[in-house]
Amino acid sequence: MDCEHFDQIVLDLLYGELTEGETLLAARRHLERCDRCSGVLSSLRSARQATSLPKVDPPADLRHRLLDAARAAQHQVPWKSRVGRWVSWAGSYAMRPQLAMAALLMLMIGSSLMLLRARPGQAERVRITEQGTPEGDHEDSSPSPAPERVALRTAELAAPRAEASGASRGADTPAPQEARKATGDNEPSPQAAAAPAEPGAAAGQAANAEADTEAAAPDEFAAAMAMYNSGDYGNAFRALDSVANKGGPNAPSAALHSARAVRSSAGCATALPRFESVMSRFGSSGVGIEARWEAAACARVLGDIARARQYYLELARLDAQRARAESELARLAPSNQQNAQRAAPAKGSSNRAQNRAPAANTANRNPQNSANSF
Amino acid sequence: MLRFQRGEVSAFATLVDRHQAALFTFVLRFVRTAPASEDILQETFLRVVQNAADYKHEARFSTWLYAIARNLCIDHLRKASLRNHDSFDPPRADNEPSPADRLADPHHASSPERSALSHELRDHLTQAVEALPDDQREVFLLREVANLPFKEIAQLTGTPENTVKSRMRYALERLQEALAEFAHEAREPG
Repeated sequence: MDCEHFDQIVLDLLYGELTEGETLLAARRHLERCDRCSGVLSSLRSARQATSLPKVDPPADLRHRLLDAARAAQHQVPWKSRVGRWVSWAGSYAMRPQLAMAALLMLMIGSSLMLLRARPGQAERVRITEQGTPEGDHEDSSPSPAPERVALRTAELAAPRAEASGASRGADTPAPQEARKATGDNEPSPQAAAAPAEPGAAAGQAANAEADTEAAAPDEFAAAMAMYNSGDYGNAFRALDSVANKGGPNAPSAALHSARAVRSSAGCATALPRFESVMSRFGSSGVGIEARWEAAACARVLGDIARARQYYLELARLDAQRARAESELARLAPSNQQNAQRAAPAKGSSNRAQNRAPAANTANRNPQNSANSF
Repeated sequence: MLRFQRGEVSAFATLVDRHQAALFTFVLRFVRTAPASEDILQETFLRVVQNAADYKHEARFSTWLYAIARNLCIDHLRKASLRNHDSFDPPRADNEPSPADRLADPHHASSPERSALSHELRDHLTQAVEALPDDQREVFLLREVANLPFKEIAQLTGTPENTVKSRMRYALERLQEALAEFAHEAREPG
């Protein structure tokens, strides 16, 4: 620091307004070696001390006059100025960052709540439950329902079925039992054995349902179908179940093929509840109708003629399915008589023998049905 | 001031008590006459009341207060300079303190026991301050009486900060010379 620079800061130094530490240190170093500048500072310091003016108190009554005048002026302040005063005061609070952050947070929470909506398909599912009419597979993009919900729907469907069939159904297949079956063990049993069959023409309707839909996970569905077509039913039903549980446009077809894979690998005893679950889920759609055909066939295979008849009667109410259903109903009568005849000598024999005989008979006697099965 | 903006009248009394002595000294040394100083002081606080809503807390209240007082002082001096041409009062000598100043200075009347030299020194200093050029006196009073930093004085007067410092230095040197002259005369009377 030189003398010229010191002259620029000497008053800051004198009045303690020198805030920069480096400049203060430099000034002190300069004062140590410069007599002229130290003399200037000393002279100004003594001048300041000598020229400090004493404060003069105003007259005593001036304070009262001031306050009275201020009070009067405050009453005369127009309402606009008073409003402006309050706005200014409120504005000083409103502009604080804490309030701004809180307002931003509330805005974010509010917009998030507005964006939260019901998942697609949920409203349709509720409406169908209330009306008792199953929804179409193309409308259901939600994941597969919980087992309890399937049971409820099965029970709901079983109730009108029981009313339609009347006494012919008998007391052997009450609705709660069906519900229990639907929620029961759906896994294929290793002990159960049934011959795998190729997908039949009845899969056409399900194929139509597949044709107009784009899969949410087409690779997964295609891979599952490839396993199914290659005869790897054990892995295929798991993969198809996964697709069906995730929902989407391929879910109905996946559920139907999963039930078919179970039937191919574990037999009708395990597959029947699955077919019933599919038909309760997808109702009068193509997949639902196809599942009903499959359930009826499985019921026939298992010798549950009453249940098979019930499904055929339900199918006969549909115009497109009536001819075929009546044909199947006509075939049920002799089959029922044969089963009754065989049931008498077979009394006391094992359940496995009972199950095998009608299956073979049905397969041999009903080529159309076998064409529809796997 | 924030409390007063919210409508607390008692806060205004606090403001008056805190600032009136220094502000009165500033105005008195600026315009040199006590009656005018009282009027200006009252008008300054009235302006505070009337314009409280316009006051932003970005600047110190004292800076705002002295800015109002300074503007009123300048207006008064401008009007006084015009009236002096028609005044019938006898002109006052530059070195003679006015009776009003002597009345306004409590030390002047209430401390007769003090030494005559100290008394005269204070009077001499007051005269020397009032004899300063207006721009130097303004800066000197704002720094010494109002205790405003040079930066705020520069903003208040609309003058570069270096110019403010120069005026302050000249004022100090001039006052020092006046006091030295007085001391020399006191040592060698007559």
